[in-house]
Amino acid sequence: MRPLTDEETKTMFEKLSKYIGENIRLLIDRPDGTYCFRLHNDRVYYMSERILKLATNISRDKLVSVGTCFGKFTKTQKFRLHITALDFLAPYAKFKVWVKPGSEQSFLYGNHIMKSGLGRITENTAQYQGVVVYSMADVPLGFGVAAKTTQECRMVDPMSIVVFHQADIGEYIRSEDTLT
Amino acid sequence: MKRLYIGGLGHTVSEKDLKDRFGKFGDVSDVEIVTRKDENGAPLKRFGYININITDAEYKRCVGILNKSTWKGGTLLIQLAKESFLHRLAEERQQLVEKAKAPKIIPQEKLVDSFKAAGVENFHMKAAVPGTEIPGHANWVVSKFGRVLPVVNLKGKGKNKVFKYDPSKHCHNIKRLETADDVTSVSKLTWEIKGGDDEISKKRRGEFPKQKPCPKRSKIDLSLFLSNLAQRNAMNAAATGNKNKVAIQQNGLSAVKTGKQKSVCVFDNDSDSEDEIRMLVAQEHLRNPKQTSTEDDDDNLEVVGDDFVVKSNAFWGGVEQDDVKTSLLTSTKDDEEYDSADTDEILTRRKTQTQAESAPVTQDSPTESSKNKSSSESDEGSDEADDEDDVSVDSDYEAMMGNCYRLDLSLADLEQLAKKAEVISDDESVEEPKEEAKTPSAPPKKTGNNPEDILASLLVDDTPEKESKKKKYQVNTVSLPAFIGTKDLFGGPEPSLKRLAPNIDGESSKRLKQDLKLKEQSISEDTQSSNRLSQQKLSTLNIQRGAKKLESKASTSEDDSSSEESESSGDEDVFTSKTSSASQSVVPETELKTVSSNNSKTPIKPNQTKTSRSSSSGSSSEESESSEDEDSAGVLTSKTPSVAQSVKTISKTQMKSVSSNNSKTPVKPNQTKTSRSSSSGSSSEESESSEEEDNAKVLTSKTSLATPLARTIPETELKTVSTNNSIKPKQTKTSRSSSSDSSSEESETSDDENSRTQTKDSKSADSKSVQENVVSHQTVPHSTVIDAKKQQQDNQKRLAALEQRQKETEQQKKLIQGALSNVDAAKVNKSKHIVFDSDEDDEEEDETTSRPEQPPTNLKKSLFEDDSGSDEDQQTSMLEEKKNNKPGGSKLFDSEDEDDGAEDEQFQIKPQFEGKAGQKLMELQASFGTDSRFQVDSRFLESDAEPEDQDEAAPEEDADKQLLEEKKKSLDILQSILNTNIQPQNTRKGKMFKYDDFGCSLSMFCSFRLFLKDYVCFCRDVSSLHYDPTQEEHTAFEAKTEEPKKESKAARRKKRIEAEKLPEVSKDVYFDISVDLKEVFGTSKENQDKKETVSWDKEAEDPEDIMKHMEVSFTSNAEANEDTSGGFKFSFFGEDTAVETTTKTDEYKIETVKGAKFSWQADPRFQDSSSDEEEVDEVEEDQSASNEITEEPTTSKKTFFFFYQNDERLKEGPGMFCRSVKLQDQREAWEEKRTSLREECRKKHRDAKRRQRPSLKT
Repeated sequence: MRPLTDEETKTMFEKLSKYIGENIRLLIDRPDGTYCFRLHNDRVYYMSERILKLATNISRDKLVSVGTCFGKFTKTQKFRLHITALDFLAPYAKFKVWVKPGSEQSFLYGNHIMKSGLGRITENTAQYQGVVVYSMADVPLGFGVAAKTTQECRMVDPMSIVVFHQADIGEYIRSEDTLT
Repeated sequence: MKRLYIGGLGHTVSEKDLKDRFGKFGDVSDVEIVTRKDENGAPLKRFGYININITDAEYKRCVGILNKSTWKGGTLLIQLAKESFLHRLAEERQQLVEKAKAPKIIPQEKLVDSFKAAGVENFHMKAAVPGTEIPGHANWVVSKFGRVLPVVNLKGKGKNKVFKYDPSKHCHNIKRLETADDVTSVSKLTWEIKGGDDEISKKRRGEFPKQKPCPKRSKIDLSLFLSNLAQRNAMNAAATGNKNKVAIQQNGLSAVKTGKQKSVCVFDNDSDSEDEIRMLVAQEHLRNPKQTSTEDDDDNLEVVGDDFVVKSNAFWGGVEQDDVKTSLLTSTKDDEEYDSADTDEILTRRKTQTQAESAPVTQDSPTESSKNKSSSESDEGSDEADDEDDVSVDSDYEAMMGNCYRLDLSLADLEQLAKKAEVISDDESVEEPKEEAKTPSAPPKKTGNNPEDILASLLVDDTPEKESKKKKYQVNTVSLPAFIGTKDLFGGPEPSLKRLAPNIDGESSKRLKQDLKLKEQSISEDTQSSNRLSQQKLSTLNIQRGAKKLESKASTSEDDSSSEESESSGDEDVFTSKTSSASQSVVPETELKTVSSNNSKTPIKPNQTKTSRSSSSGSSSEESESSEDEDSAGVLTSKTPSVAQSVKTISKTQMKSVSSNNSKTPVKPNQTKTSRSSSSGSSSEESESSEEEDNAKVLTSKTSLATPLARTIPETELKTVSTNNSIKPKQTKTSRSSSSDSSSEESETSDDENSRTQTKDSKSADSKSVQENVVSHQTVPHSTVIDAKKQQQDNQKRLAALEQRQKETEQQKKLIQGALSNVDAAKVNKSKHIVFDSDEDDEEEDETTSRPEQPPTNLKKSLFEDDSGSDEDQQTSMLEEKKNNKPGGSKLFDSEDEDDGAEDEQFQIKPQFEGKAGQKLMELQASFGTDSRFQVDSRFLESDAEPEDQDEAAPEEDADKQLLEEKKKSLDILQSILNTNIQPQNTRKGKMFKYDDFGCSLSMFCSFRLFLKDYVCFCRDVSSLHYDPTQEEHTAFEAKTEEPKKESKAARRKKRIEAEKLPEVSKDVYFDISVDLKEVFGTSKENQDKKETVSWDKEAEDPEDIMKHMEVSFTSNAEANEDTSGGFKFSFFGEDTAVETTTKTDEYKIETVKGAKFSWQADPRFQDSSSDEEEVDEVEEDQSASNEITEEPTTSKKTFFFFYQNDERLKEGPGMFCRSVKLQDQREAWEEKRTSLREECRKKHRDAKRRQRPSLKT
């Protein structure tokens, strides 16, 4: 477990900023204590200072997970967000998409969101903007990338993809053994 | 006839000569002489042809004679010549004609004829062996089946080879073809199919059924439709209509679509005209206004703004407060249609109704009217009280409470309640409890009510009813203006208020808590059990909120009252003397309370000075009635008539307010110890209880009066309480003591009173629950009879609520008992309540510790004395409470303490002003959190604390530093990514610039706000190191008791860090707390000021530094910030010195401390830093320039949101819209340019083509 290098931090923040913009600051600079990001097994964990201290008691090879896993760095040094980061993305998300109850399941099975399943969308959403997906009951379901702008979304036919799926809470079951 | 050639003729021979000559031999018919001439025309030879009919003999003789004979100069040559061509031609023609005339002969027939001759018939020869030749025909052979076939010569592929094909030799290859006799001719093939009438056959035939004509769309008569629409609109609420429209507009997809879809049932899909569609949509909406919204949701894509807030806030604890706030607001708004209407409106509506109903009733009988009002108004009163509470909630409160769960009640529910209550009022009193219980009443959570409005509405209602009340109302009206808002309080002339503010807040919070509790009790006791439940929840949830409200309202008077309370307690010893004073004081307060049960808004406080206790009681209970009661109180013994009046008034008052207030005060007068009664009232807060008390008294004095009252009051519980109160005379002494306690904790005192009555009367249980009713019955026979029925009904409904309440009551009991034991030498009681005893001890300890001035012997101070101890005492009491949290305490008690403790924490800050010791204490507490052990230690070990901390901090510091650096780094990176200026919030630098000019009012306001915010922050920090906003409020102190170590560690660590960093910061930095304040709340103006100061300072102090700054990179700036921030953190310790040196800064110190801890208000700050940097840059650039230059930018930067003053853009902008050149000129220029452009274009086109060609080739 080690702190992120500058590059890593940059890539991660760039990724995060697609979803929550400058609200990243709220993650780093929290009023209720010191929180930090740590890299372990190519995964980035977000934890409080206290947890960090506690975690030092565990050897590296035995340590499975600390704090909240935000995602992992791929072999090509790209950062991939995991669904576990949703708890921190959802409250700060800039752009949101609400999914109709009918297509919730589809999304939770890992499918993209069609126009037909789109219940509501934040205005001025740009193309390829990171969005957090909510159910109509405002329960965050996951996140993805807007395939179309808000304007385009109005025009397209019902079967066209509006949001590319990236992660959904169904992964907690589907990829139970890889999530940390 | 022969043609003869005669040659060698002489020139002189003529045709006649020839004729004559040859005439001898035959007949000469035609003579022809030909002369051959050379070029010159000289004849070379001459010859001629003659046709002569001569025989051969004659021809011979002729030739013999004439041939070679010379005739006239030439030698004749006679020969037979060819026939002349003309003659020949004529002969040929003649032959052709002759041929044509001759008959044609067909060879086939010839053949057939010849075959016939040979015995062949139709090319068949019977009984002939194949290969036999047919006689007369060489090439014909008989072949198989007796057929006669020709022998054919075929030319082979080779050059000249010819094959002879003899069919007879290949006869085995020949087959005989069967003759097809059944062959059908083409014309007889099937050209038509004839079938039945069924569909298939028809279709086979290609006949398809005619397409059914589309049903014609029924055209709507527009006018008719519109009229319909209008009617419907009239019927539907306007609100719904609006909603629908809005919904239509809002739908991202065109409303037309939805209209089509929905209108399918009625009309065809083809509706084209927009008008029709619109009409359809409207109609559809009218039909099912509710469904539309949901359907729209399903059908249409909804586009929401960036500020759209997720509803389920609770789901995400970490949601930003702003969002939560807005969401709460929106959610409440969206709840129902009714919500759209102002609560005021609804109230008025309700009231008008109630008025109409109540007016006649009142005339019927006073008792009935009282009933009605009591029932209806009690509901209203409770609701209104809640409303008012909400009103008191300001933005700060909301920010604080944003994370808490809230009960959302629609006004509609409230209205329902009110209506029901009215209905019930018409019914018998017996029925009331049932129905009321049924009505699901929920405490309304509506913000935005104007308390004044509510009051006014109340007044309006009540005025017609009873004139006696009018007095009260007048008083109320007078008092109303006093209650304006927190700002006014602060704006007040008293500068001391500032300092007092925190103290006040603490007190107010306490009181609020008590009030809430009392409310709960009273409400629960009330017939409306449902209300009770909901309110209890609310109260528990919102206790903190209440505290906040109180804070916001920060009634200075309460402070006074607290201090005064102690006095009053002393006064209480003299029962009679104070009653009057108490009553007086009560009057204003009670009025306030009537407005809001909480009525922490004690603008009337000055009155309270005399009767602190009475004020407390007033606060808990209330009001106008109390004033009346006061009147009655004036004549203690002779009050019986007054009591009756009071009873009436009570009944009336009940209608208005929670009613609990009124009864209390009147009851007191009866009781010799009015002060006590007031306290009891405060404790119980239920006016009803007081009323009942009155009743009880009435029973003793005037039982007759009491009975109607009892009837009027449906809430039996109140009576029970009152009965308890009636017993008070015995308890008066105890109550006094309790009252003294109450000063420290008013709630306790009230409880104490109850408990006393209970304990002494052995009816303690009764007061809590249904048992109370029994007690009341015993005491008051009349009331009991009536009550019995009601109670039975009520009890069933209440049972659930009672259980919840029991806990609280138990707690109260315990508290009371403890207090009693202390006061009355109730060591016996002590044994029961371990916790409270410990508290007392703690208190004593605290006192000793907190006030070194006082001799340690103070341990034995009476409670009363403690109360008199004014603010400091309160602080100590707070401390005590904290300590009470020790594990030794009973659970119930602990829980209460938690609530108190949370509020008490606010008070910790207060002591600063009182003395150095107090300041230190506060600092230490703040630094250590709420850990009791450390607080104590800090006091004792002031000298030791710092070095210790430093030592321990050394190892940990590295890690922390690293973390900090890491954070900085990450922030930098983030900054680079976002291209925005982000500054770590934690870096709360007390900027190095001094602010001498601090507007008094501004500072006060700021300080207050800061205080509030800090309080919030403080709570959070203390309660949770983990991020769980929803829980903190309630569990803040539990957590401490459970895990004091962890927190203490964390706190210690922080302290150490701070301590370590402290040395870096210069003292100058420290004392300018005002800067910090401004930064926190500062407007842009302030920022500007700062900038200016910065630039000036830098210039003036050291231009060299500026140069350095230039070199320094951005990161360095960040470091600087860090340093400053670090310095800030230590403010606690630093402050100590600061305080010692400078007493001036005391006021602001608190804020700085808090500011250091909690960084999230820092937004304005990073603007600062950025601006600072810019400023620095500017300075660098313009170093040579004078100060004026530096000033210019700042002034010009006066921001109007988007523009500066004198913004250049504003000047340039308008020019863009005007035409600078004449249109004609422009056109000409364009024409010129156009040609060139065209050429250019062509050229490019050509080039492109040229280029394309080679590419194609390749």
